[in-house]
Amino acid sequence: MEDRLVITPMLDRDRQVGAASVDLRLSSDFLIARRAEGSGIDPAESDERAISSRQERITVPFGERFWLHPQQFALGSTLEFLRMPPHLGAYVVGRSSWGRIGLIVATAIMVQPGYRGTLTLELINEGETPIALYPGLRVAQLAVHALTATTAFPYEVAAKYVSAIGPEAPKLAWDADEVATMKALHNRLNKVQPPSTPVAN
Amino acid sequence: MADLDSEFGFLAASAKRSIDLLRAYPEQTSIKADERGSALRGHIEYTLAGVESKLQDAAVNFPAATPSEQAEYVKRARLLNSLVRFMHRSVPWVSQAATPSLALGALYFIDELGERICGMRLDAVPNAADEYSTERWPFQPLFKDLGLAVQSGPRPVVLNFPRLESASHLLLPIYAHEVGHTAVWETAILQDVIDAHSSESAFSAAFNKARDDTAASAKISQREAGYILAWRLNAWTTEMLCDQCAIQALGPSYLYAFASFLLSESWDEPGERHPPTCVRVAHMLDYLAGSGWSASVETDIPAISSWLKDQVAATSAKQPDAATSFLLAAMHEMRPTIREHTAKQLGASVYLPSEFAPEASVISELTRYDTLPAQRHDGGPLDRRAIILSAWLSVLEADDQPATLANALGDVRTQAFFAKAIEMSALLAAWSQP
Repeated sequence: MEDRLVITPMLDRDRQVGAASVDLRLSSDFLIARRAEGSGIDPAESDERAISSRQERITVPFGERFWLHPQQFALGSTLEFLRMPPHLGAYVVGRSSWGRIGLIVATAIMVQPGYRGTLTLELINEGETPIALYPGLRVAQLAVHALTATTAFPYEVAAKYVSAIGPEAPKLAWDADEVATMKALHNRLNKVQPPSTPVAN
Repeated sequence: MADLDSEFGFLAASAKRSIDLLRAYPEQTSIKADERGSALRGHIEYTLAGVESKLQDAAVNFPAATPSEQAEYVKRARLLNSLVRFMHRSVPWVSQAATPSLALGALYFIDELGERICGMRLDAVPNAADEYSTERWPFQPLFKDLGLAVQSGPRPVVLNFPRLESASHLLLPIYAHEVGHTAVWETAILQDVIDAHSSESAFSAAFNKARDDTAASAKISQREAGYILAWRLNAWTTEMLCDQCAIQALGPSYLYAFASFLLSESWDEPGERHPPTCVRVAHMLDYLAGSGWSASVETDIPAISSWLKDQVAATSAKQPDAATSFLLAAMHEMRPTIREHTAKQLGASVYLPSEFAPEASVISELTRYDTLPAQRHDGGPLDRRAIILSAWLSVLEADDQPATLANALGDVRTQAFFAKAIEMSALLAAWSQP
């Protein structure tokens, strides 16, 4: 099990496993923005709870639909739970039929070796008309590739998103230390050093 | 005369407004025909139509009625107003049916329990409230007064749950007990169990003695004491039947959920409706031991298993009153009959350790590698009963001490993980159906 790629549940293996990729289905969970909440997202100021409070989790039962309007952004997730072994990486990308009506399913497409969980999909409608998304439909595909060697740094070691079971809100606050570092660099590079002690005449 | 006329007019207008208000509410929701909440919605509409019809009849007959008849119409119109107001309690149920606050996995699990325990698809509407309880066919008691015939089709069942426990998926087995109430209601199982014992002379003699002693000590008539005792016997037996349905349908996960939620609340206190918790736990432990479950799970959690047994063994009966003494003895005596009847009710849905064992090893392997335990290696769905029991065992094994029964409910992430596994397994099972 340690070294196996697991994609579960696989509802229809014959239809989902292609020549060089595996089709992934949309789950019934979505996160959408509450536009009236807060002023905006600033990684330097936001904590996870602040970002979560701006998002509403909704469940769309199988057989029902979620309308994604032009230019609307929503987080969805794959129905399948993935377990990536340490010697495989993958990319999640859209399927061409959906792309032709303007649906983008993922912008952060890399799936790291060692990742476990459902994949959060960044759903954007770049088309001109609303798109009905039915949970269970194959909207994405996973292209798996072998690494030349097993990674020494699998995702699980310092993972942000572990064993996700649905769309997860961004954890930008995890990078807050880097924002602080950048601000410190700014000070070092741009600020005029104030005199430490007054100079007596 | 004028006063009665005005009063009737006011009451009729008030009832109409109240009916219109309630009738408009379900129409604003997204309940679809034949889906969750549709039987409840039909039941509400049917009962409202009955009230409306009574009001219309009264309005037609009121002008020509005698003053005393008019006074009676006014009285009935007020009663009908209070019935409609009473029906307004269905508003949160309708709302919850349209947008359930439970996860999909929990809803699918409850639906499956309905099929396994009641042998039919219920229109089960979970309702966020303050306790676990069941409202079966909620307005049916009004039918007789309204002159309505009994409806056929799926029964609306409202399953109340504590609002703050909506994410406590380890408590899902408690719904098996609640669904059991519908099985008891819909069948003659309660009467069959009571009849099997009341025909025995020793049982009847014990009942009569308890009745007479209670009448003497409470200074009430034998008839009244007999009525109360028979009512309590029915209520206690119902609870034992529901517990037995639940533990036969799910195995030890019901005991763990029950212990986690109820043991802290009560232990040896007899209730009017409920047997003491210690008696219920003792019956469950006895069933698990006799059906082979104990041997298959106790080795994994020896400390918790011993604690539960010791708790029961250490409970010494306080000096109960005559009625409680009779009921305690009756519950003990009825134990085999209850099991026999619930086994018949569940049929092939009685969950056996031999069914759990092969799936337990698969689930254990998948969870050891942090992988969602929904699908077997052969592609088929894992049994939802195995998933919930494995969920319990995995958290209890991690820290085998009584406090874990409570602490387990604090781990929201693990519970959501297993609820998602139940959802995916149910989806897979539905997908596999022809």
